Amino acid sequence: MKSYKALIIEDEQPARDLLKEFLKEFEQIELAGEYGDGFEGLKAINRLKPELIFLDIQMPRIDGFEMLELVDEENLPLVIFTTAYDQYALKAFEYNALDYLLKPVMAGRFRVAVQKALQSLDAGNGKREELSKALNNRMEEGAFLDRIVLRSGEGIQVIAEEDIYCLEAQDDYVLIATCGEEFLKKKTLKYFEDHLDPAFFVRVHRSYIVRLDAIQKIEPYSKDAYLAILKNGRKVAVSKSGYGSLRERLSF
Amino acid sequence: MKDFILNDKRFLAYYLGLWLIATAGLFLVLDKVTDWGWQVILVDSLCSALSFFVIFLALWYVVRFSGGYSEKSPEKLLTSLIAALFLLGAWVYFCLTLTCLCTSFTQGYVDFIRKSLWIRALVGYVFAILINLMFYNFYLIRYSREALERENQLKDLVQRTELQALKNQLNPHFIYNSLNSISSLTLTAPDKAREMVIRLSDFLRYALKQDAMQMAPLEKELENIESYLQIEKVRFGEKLGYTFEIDPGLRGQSLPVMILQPLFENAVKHGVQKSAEPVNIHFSVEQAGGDVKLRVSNAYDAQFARFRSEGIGLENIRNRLRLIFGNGNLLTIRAEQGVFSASLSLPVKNYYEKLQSPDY
Repeated sequence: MKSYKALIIEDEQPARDLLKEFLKEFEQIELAGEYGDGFEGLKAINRLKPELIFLDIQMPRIDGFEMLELVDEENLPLVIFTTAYDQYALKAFEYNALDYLLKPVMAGRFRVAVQKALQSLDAGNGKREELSKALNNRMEEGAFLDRIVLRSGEGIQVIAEEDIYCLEAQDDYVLIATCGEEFLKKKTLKYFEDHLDPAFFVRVHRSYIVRLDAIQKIEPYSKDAYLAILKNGRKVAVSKSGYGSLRERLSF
Repeated sequence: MKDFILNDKRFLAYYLGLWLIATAGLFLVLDKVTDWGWQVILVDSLCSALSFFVIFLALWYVVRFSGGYSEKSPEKLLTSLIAALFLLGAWVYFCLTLTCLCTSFTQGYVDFIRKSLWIRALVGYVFAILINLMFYNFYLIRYSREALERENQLKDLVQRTELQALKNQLNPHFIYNSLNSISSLTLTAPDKAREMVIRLSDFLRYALKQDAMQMAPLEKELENIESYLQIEKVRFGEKLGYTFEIDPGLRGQSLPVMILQPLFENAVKHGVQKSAEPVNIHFSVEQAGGDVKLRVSNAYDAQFARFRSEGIGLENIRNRLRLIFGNGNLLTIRAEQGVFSASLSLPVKNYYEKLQSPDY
């Protein structure tokens, strides 16, 4: 029988103890460690490369979703989410085969989830695609992103939503520009269009999203094209339809 | 002139009615005892009664500013009667002066007026008492209606706040999280689970029997806060620490029931839960001048913490402070240099003294 490495990433001791207790009956699963926050979990995943993780969503420092976004793609394990609040379990799981456990976790439900995970692992299916899809759909009801977390060297970098001036699509990445800095994040521009508060951000071009109050002026560039000049001097291309939505939002 | 009594149409009708009765009475009496002809008598009675009723309007202000007779105090009635006496004195003087000036009156008529002046004053005084009673009734009707309205509004506000407070005191996430922890503990540490159930039921008993306007001594509140922190400590273990620094002289300080609860909940939610390192929640109570200052503070992770608007918990505290002390600004919030603190300044007041004092 093949054996698999698993991690528990969960900030509450009683919940961790319970998962450990439940895991005892599965001899194929070797518990390689337990971690109390997303950052520690991230480091452990990249170091230990587990096949399976039990992941709490609400956690200190960075939450479960933010953590997964930062894991190297080749290290992405199979994830069983654990969460106390069902609003988190919404969209991310709706269309996916991913499993999640609602706390308090029942022994029977836990057993089913782990057996399913083991079957997938035995079949060599890590469900990475489903996981990425879920991450692109993460959305708490009515709540937009208030920060973006990314890796910088060995540490992580947090960009507050209100510091973002504009976002630019660059192949598989999105360039996030603040007043004086630029960051790259492996995401689609569509993801940010859907997850940033539309009260502050407007998609002005196929490749650009701009923060409304970062715009200093808008000038014509060519026929049907405009240029938005931001407060930090950065120039952003604005398409005809982008110009239309800007006109509407800024009412000029 | 908003509370000028003649703005009240109903009152005006009564007052004019009384004036007509007085005029008619005077007319009949004068008609019986004199032979001046009805025109003279009519003018005389109209003028006398009119002057009475104009000067007696001033009595309204006596009633109004002595606060009516809502409290049983004979002095206030006496005040009105003395005031009426002064007004009558002024009236008599006014009439005497007038008769000297009006040389067109026949001497016999002037003599008659002067002779009858004292009898008229006496009758006027009877009217003064009548008018006074009228004012008194109107005062009661008008102001008790207003007072009733105010009271109803206040009651309504209290009820709504109570409901809100109840909702906030019983933060559903707290109960939910506690039940989760208990459920986990039943398997891994049944003793702890049992202890936690007892703590949770203590906490709920205290929280559920309170209403928004109620006050409690600090020491009772401390017990409850400790129950709360102990419950949360089961969830967070060593990550949650707390220290109390209480001026022993202030253990009986009176404060609105559960007013501190949202502050501790915030410290747990935004301080302890969001941090990877252990966080200490510090609670201090000290006297500063005429106020008692209660301060809940905790470190927060400045790199990751994000503050948006003030939560509903803080808003609820402000509403209650406004309701109880008439001032929502007794709560101040500060987040600087990695420390979040919420301070509450309440007037110094001992809960137990309050109970013994006959004023309450």
